[in-house]
Amino acid sequence: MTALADQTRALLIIRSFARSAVYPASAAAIHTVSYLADALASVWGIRPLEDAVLKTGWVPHSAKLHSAIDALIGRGMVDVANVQYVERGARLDLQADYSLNDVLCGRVLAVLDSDPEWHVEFQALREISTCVVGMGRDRMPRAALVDASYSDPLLDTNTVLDLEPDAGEAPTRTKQANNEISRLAAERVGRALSPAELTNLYIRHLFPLTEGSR
Amino acid sequence: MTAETFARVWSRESLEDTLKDNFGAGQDVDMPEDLRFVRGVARLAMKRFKVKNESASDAPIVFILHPQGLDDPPPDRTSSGRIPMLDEGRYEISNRIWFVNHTVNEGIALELGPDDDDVEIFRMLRDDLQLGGFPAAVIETRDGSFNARFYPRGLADSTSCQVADLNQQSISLVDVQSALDDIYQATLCTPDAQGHVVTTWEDADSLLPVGEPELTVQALLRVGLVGRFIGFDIWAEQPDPSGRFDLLIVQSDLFDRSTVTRHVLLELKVLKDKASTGGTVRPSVNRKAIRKGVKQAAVYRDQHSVRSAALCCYDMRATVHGDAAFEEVGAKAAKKSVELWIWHLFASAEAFRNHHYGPIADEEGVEDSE
Repeated sequence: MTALADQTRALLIIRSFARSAVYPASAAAIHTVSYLADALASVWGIRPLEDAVLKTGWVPHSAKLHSAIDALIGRGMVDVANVQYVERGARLDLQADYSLNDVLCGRVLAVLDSDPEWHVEFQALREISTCVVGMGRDRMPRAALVDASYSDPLLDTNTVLDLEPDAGEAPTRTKQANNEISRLAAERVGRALSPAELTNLYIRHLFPLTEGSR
Repeated sequence: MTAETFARVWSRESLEDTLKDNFGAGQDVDMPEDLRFVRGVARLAMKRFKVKNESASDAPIVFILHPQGLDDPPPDRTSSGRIPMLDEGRYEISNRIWFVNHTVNEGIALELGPDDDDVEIFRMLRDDLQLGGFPAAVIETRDGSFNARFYPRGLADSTSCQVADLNQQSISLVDVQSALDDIYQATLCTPDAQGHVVTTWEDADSLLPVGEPELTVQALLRVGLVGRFIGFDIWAEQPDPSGRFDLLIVQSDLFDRSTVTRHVLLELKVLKDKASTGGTVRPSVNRKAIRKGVKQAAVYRDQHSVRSAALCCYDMRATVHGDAAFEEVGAKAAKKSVELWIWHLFASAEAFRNHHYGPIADEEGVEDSE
């Protein structure tokens, strides 16, 4: 993705939270949705922002997304509040809440709404963010941690998770789980699932995992 | 997570449980938010009162599409705090006012007291809390009833209220025809009713349709049917070895949502005098479309184990044909148990008026041809 496309992704994620109970959106919520959008990119046929992420045991952090949000703040399109740094092991994590500056974003969002490609991406981001909002503010950041690919016990912490395996390589655990859900739906319901249905079912499967009860 | 736990969590059995509990979520992604909201409310209410056997509420249960809740809740009211995973149906919903998002998977509630009657609840929401303009849904469970009243323009505008019976277990062809009549009157009968964005007409004055008017009709009917049959699902155009059906009205079992009853299949055809390019469409082409429609309706119905099927024709031609359009296929359709319905899409409000009420004569007795 180009820097401008990265900023568009960031803008659309923040917008996807705009009418929810967790708006302004926290950095953790934004990175969580961006990670899940990358993990589910093949379901929606969208381009992932990151094709590989470092497994750290905390919300997967996208440096590209971080830079994109900073750029949007610099352009006055995103407002930031409650900025603080929190120690996570040897590093400091930025915590902040982000909201759109409606006046400066209005025209850009109107243009994006008329673009079919970005419309699909926004639909994906909105559906993912709506699902994770359902987990509640506290558990929302755990959604990425319990994703099938990220939580794979065969993948050690501090190693890189490849979200876009080459042709011929095994698909990601997330893709495998979605394939299984699709097969089950075809058997039980007799039809193919839409990307939104698959996303809802997949993220709802994560719900109990965020409580650690499964 | 251990390898053993991971394998169990992502096993086929575990995923199957998720499918049984949640199939249907996200089906309405392309619907307006207020429709998703009322469907989510109905689904939650059915889960609570039909599956979890919650006792009837002493007061109407009000849901407001206002995810943020109240900045300053009334001091004499107890607030629930934010409740995650609300749609899983773990929490009692009775005797509360709920502020939820459009998928009703998260919300916050204000407790109602024993003195809160219907009048007081509505007054408080409209006047004290100034929430009369937000889309609202009211679940009624008293006196053995179980219905959802949907106020798309808010509680302050009761004229827009629609009622859905949540006990409804089946849909008859009569129900569907009545719904299609209403949708036709509201969104299809004339270019004005259709509006300028989603329309079958490229240029109504010249009887010129858009490129694929069938898609417009399908989209308008789907939204209309979703709003009308709130406890049901409307599937559109599923790929199938024998082709694609247009609309299918189904209902998920409350205890296993992946078990689906298929009630009515609708095959749609648009009849035209002209193609979108301006070329003439011969009468034989329309007759062939009707013959094909009857066959498709019967085949798809049998293939998908649907209870009944209807061919719905939307006629954009200049002449109003009515049921005469089905002369050639009537016997065959009856033999195959396919209902035949037709609605005329008038090219102007004047043509609609003239057909239903006759031409309006001016003071000199001259008929107005506009």
